[in-house]
Amino acid sequence: MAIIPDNFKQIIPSIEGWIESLATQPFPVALQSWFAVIEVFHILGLFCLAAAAILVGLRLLGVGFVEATPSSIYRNTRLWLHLGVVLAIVSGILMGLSNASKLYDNSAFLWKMIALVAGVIFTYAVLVPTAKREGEVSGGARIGLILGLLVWVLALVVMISKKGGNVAIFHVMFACALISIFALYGALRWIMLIGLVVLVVGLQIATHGVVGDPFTETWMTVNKAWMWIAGVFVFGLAALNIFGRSARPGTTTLSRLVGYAAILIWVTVGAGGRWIGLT
Amino acid sequence: MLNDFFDWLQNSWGAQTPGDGTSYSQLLLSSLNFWGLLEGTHLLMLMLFFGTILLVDLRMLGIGFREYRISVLSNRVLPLTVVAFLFMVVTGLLLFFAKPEIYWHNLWFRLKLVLLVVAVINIVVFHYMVQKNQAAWDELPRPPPKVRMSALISLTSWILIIAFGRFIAYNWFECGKPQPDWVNSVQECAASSKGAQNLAGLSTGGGEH
Repeated sequence: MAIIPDNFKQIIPSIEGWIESLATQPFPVALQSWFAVIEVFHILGLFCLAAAAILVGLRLLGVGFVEATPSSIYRNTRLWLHLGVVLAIVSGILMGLSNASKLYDNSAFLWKMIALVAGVIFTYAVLVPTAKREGEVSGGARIGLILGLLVWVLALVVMISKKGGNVAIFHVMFACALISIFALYGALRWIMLIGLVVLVVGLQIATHGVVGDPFTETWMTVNKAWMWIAGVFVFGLAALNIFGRSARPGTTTLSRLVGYAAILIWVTVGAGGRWIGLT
Repeated sequence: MLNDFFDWLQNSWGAQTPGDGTSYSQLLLSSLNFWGLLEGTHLLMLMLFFGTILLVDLRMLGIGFREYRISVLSNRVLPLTVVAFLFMVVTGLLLFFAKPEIYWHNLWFRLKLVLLVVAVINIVVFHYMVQKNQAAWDELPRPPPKVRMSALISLTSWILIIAFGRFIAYNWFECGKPQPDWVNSVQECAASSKGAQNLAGLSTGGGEH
């Protein structure tokens, strides 16, 4: 076993019997035939909560629906936020029951669950109180902020520690770059936009412009090196934005940090869902 | 005819010999990152696309943001929707390009296309007819029935497009499996590479692959 666990099976091997027994119990078996339908509700739940997280998050960066105050956007979207969180989690539990043995040794499921914990902490302990106070991050929210960020970073560390899983980090980077392109202005916006295009095209040329089997150690290494280069570039520019470079008026360093993280944590959760099927 | 084109696109374009798995389409499908990232981006862009269009449609239905003019909300939120939609179209076309012949004969893909047409017609009708007198209802907490109907059609069609998009991945009605005649004919299975087989086990045709 590596230092960083790959899946729940490595962390809690004792429940393997129970996980396997689920596959023959009537309720999980009955759920299997409804899997595709439950899955649709699961993604709709994610989109509903994303509606609130994106609009409130962007507003804390000073972009999007700027005619409304953060608290007003929150008031008008909170129903979808709560409904989305409940719908996604309840449908997720049903999907998990019908599919338990596959998730038990799936690495994307592990980091998705860690990111989900971060998402719930961050949304309810940080985003909501910050929106209610019009962008002012209270003492309690600061504790949530540190805790939520730590759990999120843990999810990202688990994500990139695996050979097949590291590619999902590109989704988080890409979302971060997209937020920055909205939030930045002037030269930094163009640097982000052009840099992103160069990085995406460059990666494809590096990994696929060469004839031969792409699933070799060499290309996995190229991939990982690219991940670090792109990561430093994208998250670096976003950090410049958070710490005040070409930042929008009426926002603070902490409110911008909350805005970025609130959206990106849910992107991580969503990417996890997709990559469960791909890893 | 379209089938032949998609078959060529999937198996022959760029291939050394047709069907040897080296066509551009199959290279894309078997790529190290690209196909997975396309799928993921398609899905994650939906967070932005559906999340934003949901709020605008709900406002038009008279739910949420009632204290704001519809135009103020949509001027700020719809640009985000449009950016997301462009990404959805580009990633969607590339995903289609990876398996054109298979998707073309997929029931859910066909239904999704039909509903996309419905959604686009709805946008055109809204833009050129319903929106003409927007000044008259822009401020109303509960807009007139025409506006609400547009919003309802929009939301319904996008939810169904998302559902059908997800169902494409399932092989419930895959061509070549024994299934009712109407399924085979809606999917034009007889023209597909897998052929059509009806439930009674009678083969009604098939491709040469």
